Amino acid sequence: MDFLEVLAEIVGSILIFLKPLVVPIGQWMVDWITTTTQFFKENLGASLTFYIVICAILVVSGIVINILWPGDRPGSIFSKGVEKIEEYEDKIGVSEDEDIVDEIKRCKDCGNPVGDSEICPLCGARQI
Amino acid sequence: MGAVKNMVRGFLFTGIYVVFTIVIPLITFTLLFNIEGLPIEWEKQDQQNITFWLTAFGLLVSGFAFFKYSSPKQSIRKGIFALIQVIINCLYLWSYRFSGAAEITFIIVDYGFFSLSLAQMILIYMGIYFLTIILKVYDVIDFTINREKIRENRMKE
Repeated sequence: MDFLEVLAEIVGSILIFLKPLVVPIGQWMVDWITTTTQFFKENLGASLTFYIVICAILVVSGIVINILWPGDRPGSIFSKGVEKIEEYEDKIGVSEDEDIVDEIKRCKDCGNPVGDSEICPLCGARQI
Repeated sequence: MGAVKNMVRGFLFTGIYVVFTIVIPLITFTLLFNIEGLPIEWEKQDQQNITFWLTAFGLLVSGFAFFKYSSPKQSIRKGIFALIQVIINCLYLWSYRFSGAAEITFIIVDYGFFSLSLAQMILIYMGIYFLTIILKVYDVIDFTINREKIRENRMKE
């Protein structure tokens, strides 16, 4: 019994100590909840249709969003499109690189790009 | 496979929420209102009012519960909908109060009456819910900041 009394006194002291902090928080909670519930009561208190529709929308949209973005892999619909785009980008990227590399004429001595000129502008070596 | 698993979890928790926020309270109140033979008369209650608001907010809580529990772990959408669900839960709890269910007066025939006020208990719950709201806001910020890291870890699983 003594232990319980001590425990009750400790809990009571903590509550009294926290009262200046807890009371405004509780009051704030009560204020906004009262305002919101009052709004619901005045504007949406006639029938359950609104609430049923919201619930149905949440469930249906939850299902749709989970099909599109399940979380453990990229979304099933858009990922296919993205994969195809990436494939095309890779192909285009590789072919362009190869073409550019092949087309550029370089100096035989220093490797500097020389274009159509017969003399390397960097080292002066003739390219014929 | 992930989508199916998420949705099964969503439906499971929605069912639990429907049972605990709508079915059980409605059955309890219906029994209390209609039970005969007890020397207790309801004085202040408006059965229609209570059942309406419990059902209304219960539906919202259950809908948000589906969205929350069907979302991937630590996803931003899960965090946001968990936060909204906590806020709706506050309204649900408060609906007990403004519907009159938190202040019940029992009249015992040939004896007197006594009042049962659950308002203080609900206020304590509100304090706990405030802390929960803070935690949920922190979760949303955390999930947003560490989005890429969380996503990478999720993909590895």
